[in-house]
Amino acid sequence: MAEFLQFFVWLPFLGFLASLLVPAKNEKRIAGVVITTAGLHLVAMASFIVFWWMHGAPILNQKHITLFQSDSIEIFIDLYFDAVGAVFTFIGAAITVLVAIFSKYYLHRDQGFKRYFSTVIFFFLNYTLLILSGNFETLFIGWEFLGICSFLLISFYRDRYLPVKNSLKVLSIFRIGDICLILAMWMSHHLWNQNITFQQLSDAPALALHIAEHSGYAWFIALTIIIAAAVKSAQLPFSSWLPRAMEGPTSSSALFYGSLSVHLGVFLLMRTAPYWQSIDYMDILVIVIGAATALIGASIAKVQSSVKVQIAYSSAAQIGLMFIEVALGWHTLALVHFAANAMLRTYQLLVSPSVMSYLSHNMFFSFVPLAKSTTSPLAAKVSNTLYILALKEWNIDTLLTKYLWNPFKWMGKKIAFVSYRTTVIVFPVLFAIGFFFVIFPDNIPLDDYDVVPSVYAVIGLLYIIKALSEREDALHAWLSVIGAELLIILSVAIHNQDFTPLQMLIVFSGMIVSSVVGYITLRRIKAFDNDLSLNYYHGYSYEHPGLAFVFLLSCLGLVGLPFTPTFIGIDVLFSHIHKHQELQIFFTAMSFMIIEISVLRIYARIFTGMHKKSYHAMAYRSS
Amino acid sequence: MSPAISNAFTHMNKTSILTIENKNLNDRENGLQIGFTIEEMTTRVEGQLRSVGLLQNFAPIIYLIAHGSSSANNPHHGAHDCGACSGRPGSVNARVMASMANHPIVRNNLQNKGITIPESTQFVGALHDTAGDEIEYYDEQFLSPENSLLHSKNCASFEKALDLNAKERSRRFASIPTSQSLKNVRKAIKDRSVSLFEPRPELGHGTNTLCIVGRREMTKRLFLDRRAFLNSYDYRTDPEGKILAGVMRPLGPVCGGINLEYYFSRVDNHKLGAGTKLPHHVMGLIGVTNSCDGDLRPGLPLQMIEVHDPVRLLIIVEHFPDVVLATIQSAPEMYEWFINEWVQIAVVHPETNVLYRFREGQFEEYSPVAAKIPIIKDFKSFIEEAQEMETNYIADATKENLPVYSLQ
Repeated sequence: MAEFLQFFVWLPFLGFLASLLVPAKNEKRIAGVVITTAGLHLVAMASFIVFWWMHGAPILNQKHITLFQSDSIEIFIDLYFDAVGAVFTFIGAAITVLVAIFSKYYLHRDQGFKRYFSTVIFFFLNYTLLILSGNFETLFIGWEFLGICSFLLISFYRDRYLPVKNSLKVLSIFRIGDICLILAMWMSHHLWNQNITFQQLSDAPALALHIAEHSGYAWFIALTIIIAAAVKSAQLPFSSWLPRAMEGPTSSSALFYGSLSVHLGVFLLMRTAPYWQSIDYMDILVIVIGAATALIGASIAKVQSSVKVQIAYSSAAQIGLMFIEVALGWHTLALVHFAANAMLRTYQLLVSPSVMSYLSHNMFFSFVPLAKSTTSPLAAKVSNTLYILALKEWNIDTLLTKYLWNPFKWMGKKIAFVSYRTTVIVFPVLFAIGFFFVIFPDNIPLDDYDVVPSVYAVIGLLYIIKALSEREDALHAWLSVIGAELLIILSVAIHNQDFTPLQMLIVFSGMIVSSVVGYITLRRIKAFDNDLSLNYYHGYSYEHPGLAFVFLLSCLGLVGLPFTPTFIGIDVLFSHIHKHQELQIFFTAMSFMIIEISVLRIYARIFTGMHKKSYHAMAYRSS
Repeated sequence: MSPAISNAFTHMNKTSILTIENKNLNDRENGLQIGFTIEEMTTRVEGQLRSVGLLQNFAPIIYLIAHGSSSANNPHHGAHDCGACSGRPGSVNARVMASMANHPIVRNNLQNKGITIPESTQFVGALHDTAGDEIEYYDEQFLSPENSLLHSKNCASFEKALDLNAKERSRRFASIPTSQSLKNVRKAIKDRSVSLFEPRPELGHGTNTLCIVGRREMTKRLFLDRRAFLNSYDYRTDPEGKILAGVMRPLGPVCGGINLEYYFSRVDNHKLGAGTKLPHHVMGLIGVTNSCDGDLRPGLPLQMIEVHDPVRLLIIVEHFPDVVLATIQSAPEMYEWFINEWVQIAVVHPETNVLYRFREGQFEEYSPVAAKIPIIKDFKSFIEEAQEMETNYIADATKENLPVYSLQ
């Protein structure tokens, strides 16, 4: 029965490919492909669930494709199915079909009609893959692509400033979740010396022994999983991305942030519950996060002026309650709660423009002014304070910017004195020295061999920060990122015989193509105006959507999204950092957290935003 | 019906009872007088009748039809309803006006002022839902038996007009095949108007270009592609243009205002319009923004203006040029609309049929570019075969807009 599972991944994949082939003008066929695919998926999934139920609802686990194998590491695609998966896939397919039908009419004549539907079906593919995944690697593929789908749909109206700004903001918060998952994978490689599946994770007694031996590492894995879940489900302290994601068409907001995407944190917690619940204090942590979000989210939802923001925070508050339910072990209740919340929020978002009609338009005959309440000065003060705090979203967004992103900006300013020229001149020297150490590791002139890799990891990070703070020329930023990746590979390769040249080549393979293609694309853009400044938005996707797409692909390839072998390579690369190399893992993780932001920043500045030529319609920066 | 749907007819319950007449000046609510006194009623009815030139040859039933619009999931709903009724359906106004005109004492007063309405003539208020293409009539129970009979005949004519109107409108909607049966077109139009997922419940005043002030004989059997405001006015009842001033005063703010709203929203939908409505957030029940931290958007959304040709309104008046010139110059707030060219104005000389165009403060004779108006032989196939836009880019979308035709 387990081999049927892959069908549910292939079906949306084929639908996605088919949707790409339809010409953009043929609205009916584009929508038809997506609705048919999701509809078939729904019917097939419903039948499968009935069939599965009649056979006693066994837990299914199937190892599918081994992507990479060496002595120390095996990376494979694994699919898994149980009641949690059944509920999430079924609800997911149902909502996707309904929203796709809604969008067919809603998006009629929108210039991004095809872009929208292709992204929706791609989202659905990765959602399904994520839900059916049987190990962290498979889950991570879906997880990464979902982040990119979010980025694309938030900046759907890419010729305006705010969608572009907010898409990068949301992506940057998502990256925290991504990097937490990478760290969880990294640590579990080392803890179990294999790629652990979710089925093995649910085998509590076998785990208990391991956990007792390595409590610190086990604690680390649980913590990263919980942070990743909190990020994806807009829990505190990350909640503020959710309302800022409401930039695309109402229907995409409903699908992503009303229903499916935002509940994936709950899914991750349920999938890994047997594991983190066996570690002390973790359930308390989840309860605290959930309760805080429920309370603060509800207070914010009460006073916001935008209806979609109200819905976003009420949804986050409900998900907070789901976190509590999961932590208390009430999984069935959490599933029911998920289904109900997903359906309700989708509906509420879809009809959110109607709020005008039932709260304002029909007040004509039935308006009753609010009665003035008389309360004590203290109570009034408390309630006014709460009101203002909630209105300002408890400053979550400001605090995140201040403590999470400003340090990077600060560092960028601090190293601004190093000119781009210097970084270019220094690079071959650094690389040559590093390369020398890779080949002749015995010549490292230090007692502690781990210092050199850490130093290279820091230099790699600095190159990325340089790219992130680059303002002059996008090509500089692009080359800095490539340089950084090379240095990071070196940092792992130094004093590490297990990291074979073949493995390095895997990391390199996707990267090299992407970096060359990206470079050529940027050169072509530069040829138009001799201007690739990152100080402002150029909006080239308006006139050159093809180039924009190619550059987007090379950005994603460069940072190792799972459509090039680089993805496997990065996984292998991380597995070669040993668990005692705390500094190196810290800096490498930092690098991978901001690398995607720094390349997508280039994409955003050069290809999105309003087009620089004023002979096109231009929106205000405030819209 | 779901609360998400605003139905034009629910604005006023058909069976409700309105307090229309004020019998005691002390009847006040929130400092405002309740109802109209007989004198106020007389003034209003007289003004209305004189402005449209309806002073004799009264039909047995005179319909006062207000407009309103049903829509769902549409924050710009108010832009489809009646602007003169604060963005709501005009059903109350129509019903009140009919009731005033039917009032025996008002009739008596009107007779003293020289307007004799036969006792058999009755006024009926109604509401046309311009999105769903339906009409609801009010206070039909007060019709005399003879008029009741006539009313049911008229209703059938109205239904036929609604059918044809729906067919004409359907050519603009990609979701409705115009060539299907009238019954299906009507149903599709109605369903569409209250669909949650339909960002274009109706196209409202999109494509408006003309405002014709004159006798209806002027526009009889003309195909204007639903692009004209038609103001009934008879120059013969008003040789000095006294009434004309009253007729023309609202044309600037109302028709010109509507026209410019569409004009500017179309010319720069990003800055002067609201942009596409798909990502809109309803903010504080007072407006829409694009995102949680964006500014309020002015103007009309893309979905309302994409079919619109951005041209200024052309007002055509049937009267003598010198009278019209004196009329528009009679009030500075009216004249600024014309002298500043916020709207264009032309005059048809009622005796010679010569056209005069207003330029730089005076009327100049004008000979039209088109020597002949093309003729539509078969209206049904004409509407069904009219060109449909390929995309909603301005160059494609406005190809749908048709010039003036004569109906055979």
